[in-house]
Amino acid sequence: MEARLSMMLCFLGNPVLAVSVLAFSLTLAVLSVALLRRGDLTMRYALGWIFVATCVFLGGVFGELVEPIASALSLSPREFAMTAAGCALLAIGVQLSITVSGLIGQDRELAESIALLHARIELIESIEERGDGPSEC
Amino acid sequence: MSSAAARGLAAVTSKKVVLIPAFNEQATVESVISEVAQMGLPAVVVDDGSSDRTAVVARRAGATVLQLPINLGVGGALRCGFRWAVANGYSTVIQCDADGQHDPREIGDLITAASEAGAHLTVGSRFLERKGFDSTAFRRLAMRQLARTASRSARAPITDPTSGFRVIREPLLSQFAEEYPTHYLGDTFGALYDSGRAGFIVRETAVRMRERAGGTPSANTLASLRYLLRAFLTVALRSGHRYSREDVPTAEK
Repeated sequence: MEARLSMMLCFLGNPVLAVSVLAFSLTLAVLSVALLRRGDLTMRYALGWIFVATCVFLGGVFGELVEPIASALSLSPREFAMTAAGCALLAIGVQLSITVSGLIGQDRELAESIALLHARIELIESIEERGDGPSEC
Repeated sequence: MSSAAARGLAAVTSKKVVLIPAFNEQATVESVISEVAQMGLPAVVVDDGSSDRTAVVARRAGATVLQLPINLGVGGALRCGFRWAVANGYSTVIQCDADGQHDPREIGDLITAASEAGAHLTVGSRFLERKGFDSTAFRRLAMRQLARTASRSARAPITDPTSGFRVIREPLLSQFAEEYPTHYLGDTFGALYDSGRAGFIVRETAVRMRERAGGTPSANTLASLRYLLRAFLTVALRSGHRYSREDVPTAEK
């Protein structure tokens, strides 16, 4: 454990940064799982955030694990981890934009339907009040 | 309104309705509805999530009111109105602002122009005879660019593609009820551009615009510059809706 901690500190070169990275990635992962279990986050987004946490954790704490892939891409482990996390964030952002755009369309559809139904009810009520038969509505 | 226009209007009044999108227009909507009633036409007001008494005032003035629970913007409000019109058997919709800028007395001439040209979409232009409208240089530049693009799509001269004083007739009306652009300038320029591209007949006729009776215009230099940039982006990135050509009568394509 001591050796691992020492390697970690050595890798990051900054104990405060090392602890921050560890705390950040663990918090993000735990929070994602907690929100998923409470039903406040869908599986799709929970997996996205857990992926980001994992990238930060592996790149920041176990740098040597990603070193082969990182060096193949001419990147340092930390750069590789940050790039992967950045790509995941971008993917989540794009996915969110698509989802929100769809929701705006659904919102519009719903609001229009409410307005049309409301007008129809008003018309039916006014016909009933007058005691007429059914008409256009 | 000319006597010919009045005769044309009276002949088929039952199939026409004036659609008035309104957002916080309690100060002006009543007089607009009453002017529309004087033309012998029914009015339907789409209250676009107003926080004031627009819906109450419009109902009291005798209009049918479609009350949206949230603000959808002009495009959303218009599509709701088009859906209502189609569902209730109207074949012609006259679109008119609630702020009093559009003079309902011009509706007769608009309808006559639409009938004579056999147009599916007829725009009331402020610039065709340059009556009663002024604007900043930035805004005029943006308008010119939009007008050029709109004219190309319509294959006819269009000088005022952002005018909201319009006549929409079937089969375009049903297409608008299905899908109507809601992005920036989509409810004016976008709808016109897409209609022209789809083969619908788009024409323009001169109308006189009045000063706004209420609300706040955004015509300072900064707002105009912003309008110019957004207009150019709208033209450059145009990602509009594509209306089906199936409903367009072959002879009119």
